[in-house]
Amino acid sequence: MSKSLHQDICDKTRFSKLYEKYAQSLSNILFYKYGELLNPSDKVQEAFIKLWENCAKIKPETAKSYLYTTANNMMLNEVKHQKVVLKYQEVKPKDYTNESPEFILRKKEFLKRFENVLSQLKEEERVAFLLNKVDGKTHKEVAEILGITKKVAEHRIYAALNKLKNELEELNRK
Amino acid sequence: MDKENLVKKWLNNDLSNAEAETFNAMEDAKLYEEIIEEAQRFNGNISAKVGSFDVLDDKLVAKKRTALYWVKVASSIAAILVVSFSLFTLINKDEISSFKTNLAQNETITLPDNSIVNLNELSELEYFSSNWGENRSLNLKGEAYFDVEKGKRFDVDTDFGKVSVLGTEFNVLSRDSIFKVSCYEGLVQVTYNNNDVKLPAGTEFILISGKGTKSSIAIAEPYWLKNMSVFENAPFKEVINELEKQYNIKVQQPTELNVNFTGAFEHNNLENALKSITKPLNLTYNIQNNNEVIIRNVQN
Repeated sequence: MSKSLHQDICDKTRFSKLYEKYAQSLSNILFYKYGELLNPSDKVQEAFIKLWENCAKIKPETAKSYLYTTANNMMLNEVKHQKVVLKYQEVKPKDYTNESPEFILRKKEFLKRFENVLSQLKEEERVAFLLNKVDGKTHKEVAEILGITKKVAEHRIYAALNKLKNELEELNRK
Repeated sequence: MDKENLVKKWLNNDLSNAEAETFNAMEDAKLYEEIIEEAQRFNGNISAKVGSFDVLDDKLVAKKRTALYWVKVASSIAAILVVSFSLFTLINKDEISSFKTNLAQNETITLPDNSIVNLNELSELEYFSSNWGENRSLNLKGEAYFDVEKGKRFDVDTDFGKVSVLGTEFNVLSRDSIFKVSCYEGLVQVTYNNNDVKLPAGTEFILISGKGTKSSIAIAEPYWLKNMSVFENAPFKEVINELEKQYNIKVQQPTELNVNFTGAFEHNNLENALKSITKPLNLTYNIQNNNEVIIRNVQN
């Protein structure tokens, strides 16, 4: 880890840089892990507020892990045994208006199923998979974020994909 | 190449052209593609979008500001308190001064004009120091000896009457039902129940149950200044009261003695004090452990 120029992050400019750099990806991780019911973006904000309050005590190079741990702990405090709900976006990435009603129906079914399977995946697999495939993090980055080896990250991503495929396959065969 | 490896490579965007062909030829290839494509719908950037930094900034600022605000409020209150307290004490210094003595405690007070007040035990003295030069007047409960500097009228207010003087030494006792003024130097005027009594040096005035008597005094200073209690034809009960107060003891008498006592007792030695009281009246005493003294007739 590179040595930081500054002793702390109590400077607004430096702090806003941190926010821009980490806030969204942190929010995504929380979302992939715990779903949307627990308001991951709120937790991220709270974590940043806490970081700001303690800014004098935290070195810039540890800020990222501080944020992650804080936000994650906030989540865990709330999680208990809540079911993970990931919500797919109704806003379509592609325009399907020209598709047949059958296709739209199938797509709807597919997404519903997708959502279900995704929620039922092992948390570690889901997070690795989404970080890699949705957030576009490389295997190495995913491994770093989750504190695992690259090999394990790779395997988890594959496992997630495989499960998704197996579950969604049936639907295709109909 | 087995399928798992191929898919893993595909996942890592690490397929060579030949491998890509193999992958695309796979039955599941399309589904894999679809899964990845549709997975984008679960992007946290949409579902878990964080606000801009400005939004957070407002919260940070608000938080710091409220903290700062309360610090400001608290410190200004504290500042006001400190200032007003010091002002109050400063001004109050020139307002009412009061002194109070406890059991067996004497206090010497120098008044603003260098007059000296010797406050006997269990007494209270109060005076206005702000306009002392204009109005030399104080309130007294208990007993005090005054050595007054020459100057304007000097008034001592008590529950029973008022003592006015012009540069003198005198003693005022105003306790329980006794009001006694002894003048040692100069001239003292005692006002009670609309009566005026002038006391020249060496005389004293006693008011007991509304009846005032004037008599001469033998000693040059009040007895308690010398750590003595002196009595002249005083009821024995009064002597016992004084003894109890000076030594903080309880005195028991089997029978109420209706005699008068002339004499003195010292304040430093209980044995001696008891002897001085009991001997002349043909009594005997017994000191108990628990601060109790029993006095009875010798004959018994």
